[in-house]
Amino acid sequence: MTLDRLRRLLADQAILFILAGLFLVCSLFVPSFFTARNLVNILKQGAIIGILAAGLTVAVIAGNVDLSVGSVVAFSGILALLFTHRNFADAVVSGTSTQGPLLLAAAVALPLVLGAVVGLANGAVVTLSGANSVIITLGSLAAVRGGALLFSDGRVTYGAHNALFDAIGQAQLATIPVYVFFFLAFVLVLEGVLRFTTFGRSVYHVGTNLKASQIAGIPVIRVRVLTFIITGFAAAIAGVILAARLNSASGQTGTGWEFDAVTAIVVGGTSLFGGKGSVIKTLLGTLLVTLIINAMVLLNIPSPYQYVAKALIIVGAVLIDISTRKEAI
Amino acid sequence: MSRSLGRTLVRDWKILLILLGITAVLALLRPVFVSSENIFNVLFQVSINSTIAVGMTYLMIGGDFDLSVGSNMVFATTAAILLERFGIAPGIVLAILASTLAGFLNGVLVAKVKINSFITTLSMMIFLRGLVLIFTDKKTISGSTDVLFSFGYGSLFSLIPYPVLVAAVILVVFGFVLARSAWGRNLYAIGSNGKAAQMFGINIDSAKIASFTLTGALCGVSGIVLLSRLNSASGTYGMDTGLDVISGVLLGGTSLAGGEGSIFRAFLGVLLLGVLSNAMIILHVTPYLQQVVKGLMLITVVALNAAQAKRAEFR
Repeated sequence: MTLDRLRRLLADQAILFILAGLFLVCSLFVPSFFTARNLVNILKQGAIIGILAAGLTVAVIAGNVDLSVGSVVAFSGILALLFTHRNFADAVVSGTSTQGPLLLAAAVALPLVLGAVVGLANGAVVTLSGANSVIITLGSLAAVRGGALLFSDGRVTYGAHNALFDAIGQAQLATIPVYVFFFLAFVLVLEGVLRFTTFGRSVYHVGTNLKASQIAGIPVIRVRVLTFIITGFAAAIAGVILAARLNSASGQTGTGWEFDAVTAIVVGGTSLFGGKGSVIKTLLGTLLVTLIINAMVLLNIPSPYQYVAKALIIVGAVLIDISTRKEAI
Repeated sequence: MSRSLGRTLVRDWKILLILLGITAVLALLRPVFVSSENIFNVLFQVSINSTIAVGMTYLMIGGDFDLSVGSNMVFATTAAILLERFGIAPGIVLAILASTLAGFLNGVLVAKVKINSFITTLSMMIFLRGLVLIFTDKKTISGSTDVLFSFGYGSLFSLIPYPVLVAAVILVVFGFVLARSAWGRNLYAIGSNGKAAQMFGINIDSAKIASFTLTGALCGVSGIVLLSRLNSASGTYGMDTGLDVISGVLLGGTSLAGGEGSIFRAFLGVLLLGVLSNAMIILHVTPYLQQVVKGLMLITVVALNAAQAKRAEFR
């Protein structure tokens, strides 16, 4: 009886145990892994992509995938930096323009609107046509990245070191960047929305059985489109924070992030078939993937091997998922 | 009678009509478009994509798809260069075998292990791209000899370029196999109704594995054709191949939901995409805008096809 319960706990919380085990192993055997500085590093590296993955998780639970998130990161970052541009900043510093704070607000708001609009477009096309979201968003991946490249003329966009804007990516609280705390708060809010609101419950229903949800009177189209909007919005937040942290963005920024986010989601245990999963699990998945990459860097393993490792991690995670599901049946 | 014939013509051959229209307009606007040099350029680009599109069509008819084709193609190119020390021919054979193996692995993971084709082929895409970056050390590597140029730039009776010839043979042979063999028939059955196909005793797993393996092998062949033109390999090659091939096949009217499509129509779709890309280059559209157009086109085509299928379902 207790053995049975233990086994079920292991299956349900597999990601937590794997994360704890790996953390222990790395702390013991990887040089300079268990130092305050490196642990903060892991959080720093994981937080921005984690925000994106958290948003994407909502769409995945509803049974869809959005591959355009990495492109949204690039476009929103470029857009944000453009509004902190030197000319604008000069205007603020010299005080000749009263529009300074307004422009800064635009630097944050416009990218977020862009992300939401891309999400709205993805969601509308996928739900209204009933087409496969993988292929539709493969198209928007190309279109949005092309748009970002077009918009920035293929060059790197630099910010103008606007102190307020930089703070978004560089302000610290007890040596930990503020956006790490934002990441944690964002995850908790999304998790709360999924668990305790009608919309959240609808997301799970829609992901489990689309037709039944429709018959049950759930506003299926609205729910699905909203999950895409949340995804695009989260990707834009990640783009703005990344731009503020690096003070630069280009059409190449965020390349492959859609894959990293999907990896974190699947590793966390959210099912790609929809209807099952949680944002907190995605947080754990993000930390696990970041931890593995971090350990590889500390062990001086060349970066191309990270691709191979990521591919193996995701297949491994799916295999574990499938084997536990079989046991459950 | 003739009116319904006209309607059928528009419905089934609209791509051919669009293709002819675009060609006519461009020929008038920019005569260079119909120069023999440009036509060969288009045909070469199309020959690589349509070779891979053959495998993709098999997959899509069976209800799957493969995102790893671009990586797999460059993987073959890279492997062939690295294996040159064992001789050109053995190197080529081994490289194609390696790509075939990657395709086979995709098939086993999808059919036997039951990981869906999205995750499987996305992982394979990253995995093979990683291998290419490892093998090339993130640089562009070149082959030591350029004997393959006589193939890549040569032509039969100085008329038909060899790469185009290879693609044509593959299109005809596998178009025939798809239309006439039990494998092809089974794929149509699996794609339209998997459960019914299973009840009829069709071996779903082996049909799917065979399609993925074929796709891998054709990626290998395309990788070698690429090698015969460029004599180099790099982790940045073939980034758009997957997008282009999938768009082309869907443009040809093959359904993403499975059960529908043909090699010839897939070829027309890839050809249309190739002509459009070439037209944009000739009209000096920036590469970035080309990417936007390609992406929007894929979305439009898929959405329209899916909406059409949905309407047919309700009828």
